[in-house]
Amino acid sequence: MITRNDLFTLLNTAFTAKQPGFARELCQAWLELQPGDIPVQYNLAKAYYADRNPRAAFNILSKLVLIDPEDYQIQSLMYRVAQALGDQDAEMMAQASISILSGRPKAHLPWVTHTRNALELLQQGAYAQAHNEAQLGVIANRPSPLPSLMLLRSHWMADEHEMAFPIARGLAGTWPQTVAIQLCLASCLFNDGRDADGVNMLHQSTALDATQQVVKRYWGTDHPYQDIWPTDPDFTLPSPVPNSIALLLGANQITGTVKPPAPAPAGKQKFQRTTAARDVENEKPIDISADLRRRQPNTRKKEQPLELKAIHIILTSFKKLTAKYGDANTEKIRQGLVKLANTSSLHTERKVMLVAPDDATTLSKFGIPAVDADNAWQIKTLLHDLNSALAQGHEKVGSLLIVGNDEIIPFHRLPNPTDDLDKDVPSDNPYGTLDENYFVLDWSVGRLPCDHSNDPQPLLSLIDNTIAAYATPVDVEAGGWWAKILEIIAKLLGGEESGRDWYAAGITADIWKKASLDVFGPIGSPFDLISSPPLDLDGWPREEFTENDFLYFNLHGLEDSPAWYGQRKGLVGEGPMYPKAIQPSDLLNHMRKIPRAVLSEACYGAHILHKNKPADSMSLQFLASGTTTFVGSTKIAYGAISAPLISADLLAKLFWQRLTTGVAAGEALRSAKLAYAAMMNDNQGFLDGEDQKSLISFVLYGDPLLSYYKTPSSRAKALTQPVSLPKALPMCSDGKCILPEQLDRPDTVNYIKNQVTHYLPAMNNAQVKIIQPDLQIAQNGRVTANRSKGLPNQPNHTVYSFSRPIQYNGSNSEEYARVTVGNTNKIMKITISH
Amino acid sequence: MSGKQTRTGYGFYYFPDEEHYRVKDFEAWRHEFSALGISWITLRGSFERAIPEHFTRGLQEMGITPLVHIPAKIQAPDLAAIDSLMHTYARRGVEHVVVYDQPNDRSSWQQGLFERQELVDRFLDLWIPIADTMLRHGLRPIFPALKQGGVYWDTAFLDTALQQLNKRKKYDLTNALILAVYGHAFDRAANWGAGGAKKWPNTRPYRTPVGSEDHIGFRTFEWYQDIANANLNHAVPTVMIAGGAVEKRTDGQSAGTKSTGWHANCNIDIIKSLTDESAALPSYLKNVNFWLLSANPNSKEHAEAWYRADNSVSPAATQLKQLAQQRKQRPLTEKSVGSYLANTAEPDRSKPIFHYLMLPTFEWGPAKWHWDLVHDYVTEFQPTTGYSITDARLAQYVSIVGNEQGVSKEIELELKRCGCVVERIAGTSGDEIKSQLDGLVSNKTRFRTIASGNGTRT
Repeated sequence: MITRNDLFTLLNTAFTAKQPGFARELCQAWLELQPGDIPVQYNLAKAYYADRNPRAAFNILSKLVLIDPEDYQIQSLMYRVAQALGDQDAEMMAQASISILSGRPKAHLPWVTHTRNALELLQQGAYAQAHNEAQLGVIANRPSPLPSLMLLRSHWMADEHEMAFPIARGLAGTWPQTVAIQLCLASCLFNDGRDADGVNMLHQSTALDATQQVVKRYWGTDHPYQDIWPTDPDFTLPSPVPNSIALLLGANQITGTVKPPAPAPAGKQKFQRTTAARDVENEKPIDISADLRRRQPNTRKKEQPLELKAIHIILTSFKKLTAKYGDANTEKIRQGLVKLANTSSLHTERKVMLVAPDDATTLSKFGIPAVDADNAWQIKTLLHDLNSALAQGHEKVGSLLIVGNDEIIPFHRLPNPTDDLDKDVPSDNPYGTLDENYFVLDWSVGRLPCDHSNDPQPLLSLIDNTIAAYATPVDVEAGGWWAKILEIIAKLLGGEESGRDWYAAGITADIWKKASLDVFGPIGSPFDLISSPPLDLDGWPREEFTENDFLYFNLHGLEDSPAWYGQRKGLVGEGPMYPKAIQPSDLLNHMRKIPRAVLSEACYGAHILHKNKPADSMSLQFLASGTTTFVGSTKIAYGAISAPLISADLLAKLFWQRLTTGVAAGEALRSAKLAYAAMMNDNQGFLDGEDQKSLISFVLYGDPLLSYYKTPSSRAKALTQPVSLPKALPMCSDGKCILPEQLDRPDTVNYIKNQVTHYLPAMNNAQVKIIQPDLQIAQNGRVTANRSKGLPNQPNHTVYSFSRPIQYNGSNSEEYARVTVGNTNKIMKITISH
Repeated sequence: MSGKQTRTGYGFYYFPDEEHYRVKDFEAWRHEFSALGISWITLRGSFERAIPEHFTRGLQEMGITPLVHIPAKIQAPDLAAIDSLMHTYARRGVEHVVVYDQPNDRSSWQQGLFERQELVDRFLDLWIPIADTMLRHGLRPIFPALKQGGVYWDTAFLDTALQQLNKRKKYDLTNALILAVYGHAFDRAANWGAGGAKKWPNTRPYRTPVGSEDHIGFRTFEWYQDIANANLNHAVPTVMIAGGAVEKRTDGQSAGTKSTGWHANCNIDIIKSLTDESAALPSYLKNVNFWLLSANPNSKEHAEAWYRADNSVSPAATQLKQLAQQRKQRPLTEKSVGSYLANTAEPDRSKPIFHYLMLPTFEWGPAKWHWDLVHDYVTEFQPTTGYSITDARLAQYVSIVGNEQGVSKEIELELKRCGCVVERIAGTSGDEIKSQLDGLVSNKTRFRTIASGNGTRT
């Protein structure tokens, strides 16, 4: 006969042995005998989830969250399952419940805050105050029993039965499965002399909570109704125990007893480097080939080519820095960069080289002549040559950090692949490629920018902050494989929720809320994403933004204004259509703690050209205030209104997915761009104008080697695997404009317009251009006309480009919508400018 | 074959199994039955087979009413088999068959089924078809006995069940319903809980305050009857499956076991209350069957049996025989029959005739004079009027016109024995009788002495 303890031992071992099928069998057999066993139902859901059947898990959890909404484990699992299913509503509700029960993440929605407050006040015995808070939570009328339960408890715990009774009666109709409400109602019914109804209510509770999980929470173990609840059933195993589980249990050892290896000492140890920091200034490539030959076994195996070791390059022009800041300040900057190089090398185990493209002395050892530091293409060529030179020492350029603004090391000015008003696209992408194809990066690139003033402090602060960011201990988990198993067991048992050790928040234009939620998913809860409107500068969430590590913005931006703006969803509504959501002064006035990493999809979010001070640009202000990673667009960016994500939205999501798994910032953006290109190619067969612009306009301000989250997880490795792109990558550039009469069906224009105004009513009066794109090929490092036999001569789609003038609080701009339409007039995608 | 027993109203639970229905078993026990003076007996039955006819017929011929008890596991019944079974029992004149037992206890259900929601409703879904089957065969449905107290508190279970029967509009069942009950005294005095919930208002399910009493004792039937009244607005006949003090039983309700002497005294007190007018048992309680006449020596119930395998007999049995002997020597009077026949305002609502006006008949036949006497009364109240005791037996209320020369005392007692509420309107002269009848007419009061019978039909 199997006892309850035996059952849970078997279940835990089954999960450890990755045998969710057996765990499921056990749970189902037990529940046949005791269907109201909440912990076993939870384990059944866990088994389904582990067995890649989140829908079945969801069906069980949907009932459990109603039966015992105060169970943190159940809510936590529900959150993960809902995420897996893409059920945003359920995910949101689970997240809210987690916030209420644990206080983390910090709630933003009022009803969640009030309900959490009520819970805390109940725990303190402040019932009257708890009642007030709970009422405010109930008013929101959310589909969760928690606010109502807090309200009920405020009377029940205070023994105010005459108040609790009508509430419990009403709630039992709304939440008939919630055991806590049933218990309160049973008490009230007994007090009211309605014994039959009270007993019936108790029996309902036994049916739902056979193990008295909720009962013990409210009545303890010494209540007069103990006998009502069943004892453990007579249970026998439904099938033999699988060998893998038996082995872990030690049940099938032939001789003696095999004890698992003793776990390593608990706790985390600070990673200590034992080698001294290297002097990067006098760094010489080390020839390790002889050493390698000595180490290789004497086999007849064909010698494999050695992998080149990646080198980190810090690129700046000291001459130009001197011209800008003077000798003394430049010396400070140089010392700062040396320190940064040493720190970076220490933490990433990557050799770092400081390279000045216009200083022959730093290049002579490579036999590379100095170049004009004002010429972006010459600098790019220099990097090519450097890479080739490094290869001789079995090294290669692995990452690049550019120091200074466009005055120091210029942006490449790339042609605008769209028809919007941007003349060109400032980009650092070409510094990351070995050829002329600047869409696919060979190494990660970042920049520590400065403004156009002569004040070196922002740059110096940025360097210091970057060093400090490295200096945060990188925690390495102690213990060997057994400790890992223990960690996995703990997580599978619903222990401490792993995966989010950071706080994140975001602001989105209300019109793009759906898309933003999808982007924000990897880093934060939906409650931490605020819409604008209703948010504007008057209602700026000061408190909510002070504790966040990551910030995400999906707002409008302007070339000539530093602020970012929201956008109302409909044409009709209160307040401005484009309320100002955030401006640089908000960072100075309101934020006690500056986020480490920021990504903004705003147009011109990373536009720093001719910005004279940090306050002239959100990106510069973030960096000046302490942010060490900023990703944004130098020009007009495009995104989607809702799922599926495209353009900047997709790129942002891919970036966050990587950054939050421990991938360094530069590699996160690089691999995000690669993944983006591959996805677009897979989905539509080419990269169109918005795709190309997303790839080139988004830049990284910050050290590309900086990572923020502990040791990169195994998922990080998966996310940064090499991406398969075709050798001939199809690219569409905007070709010729045509007239409606030239279309097969001239009424298509109106049809498309109607479709667009469905999503963007304001586009009703927009100008429309009909563009037939040209198909080009990015191959062998060049983008050329399509001569590929495998691809059609012309693309099979047309682009309808809508534009209309808009005003953001006195600033003029244009809003664009580009509609890609297939040959059958099916809309392939709609992108809108930010 | 002995003659019919005097109706004493008490009996035994025979054996807790189906192994003792052979001819020789009956022959072995019939003398004891007679000596003990029992008029009721609970027989353990099952769905699989009917109790042999020779056994039940033998009991009936002795004037002993068999109460068939089928404590089957509560699950979906085989209605075809049950239909056949009930047909058999009805044909044999076995009027009392109780199907299922203690539905408020977990052990009566298949594992895992008790804890599912809506227990009472689920039980009724299983029991109602059986009850309907019994009705079809002319048997009155008997609601199974509940475990006193129990996991699902018995009073709450009964209350909810009766409410649900009303909600389901099963009036045909509720009008014919009989309640089965356990009346185990445990370690408590025979009058523990007397007075019901009205007398002990602080008692709640699962909680009996110190100084208060509850229904978990011999007088469980009182508490059930209050519930039945509240739900059905009429008294419901009650049969006791088993009850009384149980020898050597340790149960969860009490602190421990009681002595044999206590067992005997308690049970004798109960028997006396059947015949003692001052401590009368209510008329709706049809019987008291003591647990347990006998059991197999290797059964767990053996220690509780009054007659054991080693031929030892409980002192209570000895005392009971003495009482029975004394009773046989006393003439049958209204008082000696006790409150079982008492003229209470609680008629048997299952009788098809509400009110029967019985007129006297003589050697020469009925007298027109009596018709004249009752004419105004009959016009006002329109009772069924006649001379037939057979018809009168079918009435809830019987008004006898005239003195005992016209309708004898024996007939009056017989009618009371049949559960009729009887009133005699007599006088020294016809004018006196007429005056009483006219007074009732002018007051629009149907009866003189029956409080609840004021002409209101239910």
